[in-house]
Amino acid sequence: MTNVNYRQDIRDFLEQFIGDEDFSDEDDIFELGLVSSLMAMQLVLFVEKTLEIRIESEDLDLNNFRSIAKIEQFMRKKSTPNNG
Amino acid sequence: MDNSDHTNHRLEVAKLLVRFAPEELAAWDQAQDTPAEVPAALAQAGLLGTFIETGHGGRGWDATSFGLLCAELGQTSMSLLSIVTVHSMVMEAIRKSGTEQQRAEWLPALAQGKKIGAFALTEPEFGSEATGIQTLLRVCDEGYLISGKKKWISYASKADVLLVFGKLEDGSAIACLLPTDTKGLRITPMRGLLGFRAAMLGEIEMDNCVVPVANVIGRKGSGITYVAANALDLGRLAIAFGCLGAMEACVTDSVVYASKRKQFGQSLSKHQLIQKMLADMITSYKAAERLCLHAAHLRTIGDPFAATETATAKYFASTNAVTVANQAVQIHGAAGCSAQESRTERFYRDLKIAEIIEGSNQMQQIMIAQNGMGEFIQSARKRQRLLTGNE
Repeated sequence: MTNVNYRQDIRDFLEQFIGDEDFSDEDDIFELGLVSSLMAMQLVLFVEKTLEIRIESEDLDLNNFRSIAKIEQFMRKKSTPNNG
Repeated sequence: MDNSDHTNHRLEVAKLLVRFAPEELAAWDQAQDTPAEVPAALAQAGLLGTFIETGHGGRGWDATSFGLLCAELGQTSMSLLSIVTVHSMVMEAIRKSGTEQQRAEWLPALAQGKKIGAFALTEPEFGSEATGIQTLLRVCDEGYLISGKKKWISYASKADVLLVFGKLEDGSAIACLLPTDTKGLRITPMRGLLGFRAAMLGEIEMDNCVVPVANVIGRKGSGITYVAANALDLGRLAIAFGCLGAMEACVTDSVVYASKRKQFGQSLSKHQLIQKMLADMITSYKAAERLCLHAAHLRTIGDPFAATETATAKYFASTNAVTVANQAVQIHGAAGCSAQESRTERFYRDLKIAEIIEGSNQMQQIMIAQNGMGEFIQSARKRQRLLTGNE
């Protein structure tokens, strides 16, 4: 497991869209209505660009993207050798 | 790829398209039919799958080169642009959401134009509200049985395969490839449209058509939010650049006409009210060009903000293209209303359609506002930090 902490990068990215709303790392950003469909697509691109990987369809489980904590967990999993 | 690659690619496309005389282009529009040899010529020249990786039969062009291809198509025929756009959207869906096996199976044939695709999302009752579609896929022994109706589908009348969007019985959205020779599929050409007449739109009826599981593209539930969204993102880039090409044609024709045509003892271009129109047209074109090139560059480098910038480019380019075409017709006067004397009347009709397709401009405005406001909130915060000395 890599020690890289992506949480601040994810928050910085999301805040460029979400703006002034306060949300915690554990908040479900979809349930809170903070994510538009276009933003969801761009979120996948953010993960792809950050990790320099291709995200396949089977990874597009909403549960992987629901919160900053979940996104980080997913990114750590994908950045682990032999798991990307 | 650098600027010289982009210039060479655009020149290559322009050299091919110039073989179609203006009279032919007008005839396609009037006959509501693009001859089959036109996409065949594009396929032969390797121009139907330019953005697809070379390993899958494409040419590996970046988004700027693809955009400039679309600009040349738009300048030639917005109907032809539409055909290439929907075909590209099908490829993009497979490229982004298909499995490696699906990419290997479908992309080479599509990229080389051996098969032509069409994008079947819109239904008689659901357009902008894509999540409301009613096409239903029921599980069967062979995979799925799909039933439903699609409408306003570009090139449906001639395509070999459709990318169809529907819902499973549990309501989750799904995308699948449906060859047009599938039993139970009926396609009826739609005629008498305002624009895109030669794009050969069709109405589709599916009555228990069999869809093998291998033809499902993407994850169940992601049919609209990811598969269609990615395809539409590319479609918007194509339409934005196509509008740019059409605007260039309208400005060029207007400048040439205004320079030659004389009224009140001097050329139209010497009249200040005509100059006012030309100034607005040139400004609109140049602003749209910057937005299109910026969006394409972001897409090329994989910037996550590319989609928002593409929506912005599509919104601006299509809105302004209609205005520019309107002004072009106005400058041409009566000649601008006749297909025998000017292509501006065709652009005026076609460009109105560009405000509606690949997401209506009202949907673009919603996307731009939803995704663009954060940038300015961050800007306000930075300014506040500067003012309070906390930067």
